[in-house]
Amino acid sequence: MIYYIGSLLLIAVGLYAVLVKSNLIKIIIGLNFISSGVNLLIISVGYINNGTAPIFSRLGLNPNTMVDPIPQALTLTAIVIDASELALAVAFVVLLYRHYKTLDIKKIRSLKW
Amino acid sequence: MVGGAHPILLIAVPLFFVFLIVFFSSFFKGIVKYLPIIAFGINLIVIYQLIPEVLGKGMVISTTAGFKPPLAIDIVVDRLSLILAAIGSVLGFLVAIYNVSYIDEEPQERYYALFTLLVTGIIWMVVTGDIFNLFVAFEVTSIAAFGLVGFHRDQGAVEAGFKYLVMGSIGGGMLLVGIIMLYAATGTLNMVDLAQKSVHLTFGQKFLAYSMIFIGLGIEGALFPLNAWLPDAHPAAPSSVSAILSGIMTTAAIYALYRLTNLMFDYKQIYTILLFFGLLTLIFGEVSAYFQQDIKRMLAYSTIGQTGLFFFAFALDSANGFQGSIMQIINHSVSKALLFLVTGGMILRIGSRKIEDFAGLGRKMKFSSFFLAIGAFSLMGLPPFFGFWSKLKIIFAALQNPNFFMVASVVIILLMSVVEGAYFFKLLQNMYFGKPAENLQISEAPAGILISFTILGLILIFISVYPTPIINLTHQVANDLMSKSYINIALRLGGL
Amino acid sequence: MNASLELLLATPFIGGLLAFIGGKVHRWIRNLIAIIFSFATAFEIIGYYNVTIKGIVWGKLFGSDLILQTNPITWLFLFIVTSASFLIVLFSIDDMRKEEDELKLDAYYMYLLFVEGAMVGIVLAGDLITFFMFWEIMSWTSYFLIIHGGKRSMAAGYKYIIMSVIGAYAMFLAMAMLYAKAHSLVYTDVANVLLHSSPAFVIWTIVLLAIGFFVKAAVMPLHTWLPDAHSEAPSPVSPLLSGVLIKMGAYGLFVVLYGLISVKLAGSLMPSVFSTPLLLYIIQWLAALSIVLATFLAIMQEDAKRLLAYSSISQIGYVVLGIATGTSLGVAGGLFHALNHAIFKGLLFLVVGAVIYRTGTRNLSELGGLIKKMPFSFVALLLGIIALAGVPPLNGFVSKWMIYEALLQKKEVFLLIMAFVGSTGAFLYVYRLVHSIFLGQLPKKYENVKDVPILMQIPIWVLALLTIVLGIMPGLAMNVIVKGMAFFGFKPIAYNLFGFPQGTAMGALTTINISAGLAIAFVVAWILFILFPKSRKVSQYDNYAAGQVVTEDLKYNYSYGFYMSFSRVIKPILKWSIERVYNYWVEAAKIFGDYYMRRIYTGNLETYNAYIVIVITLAAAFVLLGGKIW
Repeated sequence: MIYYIGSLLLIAVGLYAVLVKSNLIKIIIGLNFISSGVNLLIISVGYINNGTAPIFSRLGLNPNTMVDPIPQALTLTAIVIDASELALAVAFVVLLYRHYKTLDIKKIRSLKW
Repeated sequence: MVGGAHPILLIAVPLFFVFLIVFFSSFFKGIVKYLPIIAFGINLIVIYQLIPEVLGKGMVISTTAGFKPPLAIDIVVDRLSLILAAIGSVLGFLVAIYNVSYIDEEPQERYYALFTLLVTGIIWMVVTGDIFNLFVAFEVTSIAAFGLVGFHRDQGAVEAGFKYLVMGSIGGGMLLVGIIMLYAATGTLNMVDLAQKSVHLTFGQKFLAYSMIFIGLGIEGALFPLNAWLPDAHPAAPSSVSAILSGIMTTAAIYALYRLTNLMFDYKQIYTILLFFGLLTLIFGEVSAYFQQDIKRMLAYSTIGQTGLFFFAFALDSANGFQGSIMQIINHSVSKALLFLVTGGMILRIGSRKIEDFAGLGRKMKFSSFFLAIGAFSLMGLPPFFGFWSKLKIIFAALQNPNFFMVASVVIILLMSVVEGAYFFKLLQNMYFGKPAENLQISEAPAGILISFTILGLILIFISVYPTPIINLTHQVANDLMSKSYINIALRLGGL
Repeated sequence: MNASLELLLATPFIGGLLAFIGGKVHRWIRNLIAIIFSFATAFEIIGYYNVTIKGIVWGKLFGSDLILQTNPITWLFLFIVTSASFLIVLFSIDDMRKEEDELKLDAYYMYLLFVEGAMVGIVLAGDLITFFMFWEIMSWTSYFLIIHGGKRSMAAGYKYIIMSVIGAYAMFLAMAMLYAKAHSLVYTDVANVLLHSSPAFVIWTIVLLAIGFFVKAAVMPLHTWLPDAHSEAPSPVSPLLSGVLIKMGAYGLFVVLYGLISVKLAGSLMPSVFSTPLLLYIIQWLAALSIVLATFLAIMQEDAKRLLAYSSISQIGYVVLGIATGTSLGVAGGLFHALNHAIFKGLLFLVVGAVIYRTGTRNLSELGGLIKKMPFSFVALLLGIIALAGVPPLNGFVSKWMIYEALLQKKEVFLLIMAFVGSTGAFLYVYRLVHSIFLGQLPKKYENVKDVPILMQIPIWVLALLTIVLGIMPGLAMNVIVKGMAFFGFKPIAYNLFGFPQGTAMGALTTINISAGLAIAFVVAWILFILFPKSRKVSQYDNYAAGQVVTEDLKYNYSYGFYMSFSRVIKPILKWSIERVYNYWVEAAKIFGDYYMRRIYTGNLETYNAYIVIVITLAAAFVLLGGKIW
């Protein structure tokens, strides 16, 4: 349960940062908070207290105490996606700074209406 | 793999070509621009092979990795997916031809790689039978789109790309949260399996998951108020990409919403909420479009409006509504892509996106103007173009059980159609009868551009004049959706 | 026979396409194709004279049959559409030659034939989907015709298309409501359903459909597009719009009022006034208001085509008034007036077009004295205005007489007076045409003007001849109208070739006597005039005004502000312009849209993110409330 609350809190913090912070870098950090929160959520879905890795590394392991392997696979995929998204975001920030000479999102609004 | 057709090729072949593009770019750059054409040409062949089987059996399933679903990811092509995959492949193919004449900015190899990835992601989104795979396809599409929106790297493109990226990432996160909620509750990711196991869930559980998925897909699918990125991103992208974004990408996200809503969240309350989203999207899209000075921005807002329209039709939750919605999707995809392709060629020639600068183009670029007019007419829903049949169907479906709310909605839709007519006629009038600025010396669009939009325009004319097959097909699709035959056929064909 | 209805419908469309393609080869090939195909269409309808075809299915859509049908009333309108289109194509050949852009001309003929085809489709339609489809095609093709006229015509065309679209969507709404009930939009099915529907439903249906028709027919207060569109359109298009296109509204009204419902049904649903169902009575009043107000407005115009345009509103008022009376005589009168108006208004617009062709202006105060230069046009115009004013022996008289008679029988005195006022007013404004264009002083710059080429004269003379023929032998038209009305369940009215026999309720009318009497009087007057000449012919400038000798550069006849004193009297009535009301609302909507709705997309990413968070919050709140807020 604590994991759920923790991950939801992380998502909430990320949303807060995206919503309130006007610095581009902070927004990206906020995005990262969200994705970390989501990843934590995925992992905690499959987590079992005192569970073992879902590998039959030695005999006598009880499948019921193993954690669910699928969320871990999902998390890996999600992390890869997050990483590429993050890289792209940073690239955009560099370009934005070149064009606008500022990192304040409030000032970057040439496209509107 | 079932029978002679291999739906997985729809994804595998273009993905392979993405790598080929990157591979060739270092030493044989000349070939790069032709690779997407080959990739989507192959896709068209695969689609062609799939058609008889899908129409006959209702569905084709192919599994991966040697497991059986639900353990393995499966690719499921039913009639609805086939329609969207076909549109995606046709658009991908035509825009690939378009690119040859259109893209001369460096770095070309990255453009072609991202472009191929974008279209692949879209097709992937509509054919996947696994909900997490849907997320992956969604993210592949999104990331390719982020990159392509910012491709010009000028001030507007970068700003639009960044805004889109932030909103898209939040959307992706929310979608994943929703998917995980479903997984936590049922322990499966296969859509058919989910549909069966989720019947035990309470409405509250389902709704929580649904709202997360809705936000994720709604951001990508341009539903008000989640669509704020769209009017920036679509104009900022190269016109070829705008055609894909407007024509099929938002539609693909909407498709995913349709599919999930239909399979798992088939509640009257949800549909009622969706009705409001559809109407609001329609109103804000069309009204905003009316005030635009920039033609691509106008078309982008018009996309929002159209999305609202077919989403509204879907939310009617009746066979007629589904049919109207899918017909409108077909109409929108073809017409809006056509409009973006044509305006792309025009912008290339006159070097401006301002509507007033389009004055007098009707005489200088006859073919372009002609197809622009046809696309606009079809979007407005004027007979005898295809948009007329779909709008007719939607209005008829909405008034199937006339009550006050429905009549009011229809009045709103019709009013918005008037607004739509107002801005399109303003454009056409200016284009055909406006005084050109000084002695405008421009010629017709380059060959690749001309070929691609001519083919698309002819397709539009063909389905306008002879809509019967599409009406019949969409009727079947609507019945499929109503009877949820997705589940039954998938079970029978071993999709589970 | 069956396939040929489709052929009839397809002919103009094929012709339009071929004309467009032919124009790429040579302009005469295009002209020839346009002439041949418009003639072929007009020729094909001969085979349908007094033929009734109940309906052939030409397609199927969403479970509703698409049907073509024909009956004598259809034939009447087919006749108007096809023959007018043919004459207009003939007129266009020379008139549009001044347009240098060949592409525009190719498109012009294509759209001209498309409009014709669309109108044929409307008339032949046996179900509402077909009707609506061709209705919309007619709207946008005619829009392209209107904006051929140049810069000012663009604004006019824009207004036209927007109002048309609004009207069409009102119809669409009614259609969709009917479809929901009937699951078919074939006229007979719809009629069956309406027979068993609640009064509110029927009334709503009629009102919505009528809005669509009234926009096209330019019945006040939905007429505001017409004066601009008709006056700014190219000369050959104006007669098409005025003579034919606005009749489609009248035809639609007729079909809905008597094909889909009947007077008896309407009477059983709502209270009656003067033995007319209330709704019809309201329509009558709208028509009567159109007659009077448009007449007043026409009187005050300085622009020949604008004058005729307002006159069209007024004359279509008679048509609608007649159709809305609901009695055999009134409806027959209305339909007959539709035919007559097509003839004489087509004639007038063509003559004015001919004048514009030669002089390049349509401003009445700049013209004058053309009688010597364009004598044929003068005679044709004279015939046209006599017919328009409803003076025997020309055709306008008979139909107006029938409408008066019908009103009199119903004892609707107010409406009768208004109809009379419209007719009297018509004298004022048509006199203006003769006076300002053909009489008076010839401006110097028009010294070399001569009559128009023969190809432009033919249509004018055909129409002029028709005003006389139908004026003396109204029975020719009544043949068709009465048979057709029997098809819609009307009691037949007695008629013969030269009018209406004695002994029927409406009294006798024998046009041959009237014409003969008039002819004799005319001859006698002429002989007297010859025998006892009292006047002496002098040059125009052998004259004086205000004590001064008249010179050539001084205009001595009134031409500007002709009815100044009259305008001063009616000005207070016309102070409230309906158009200004519309503009006010449109502007208000624009401001609202611009300042409030459009500010949603502020360009600020934080705002955008806030939207997402709001949706998330709403969803969460919804779940916390247990998903049961209703």
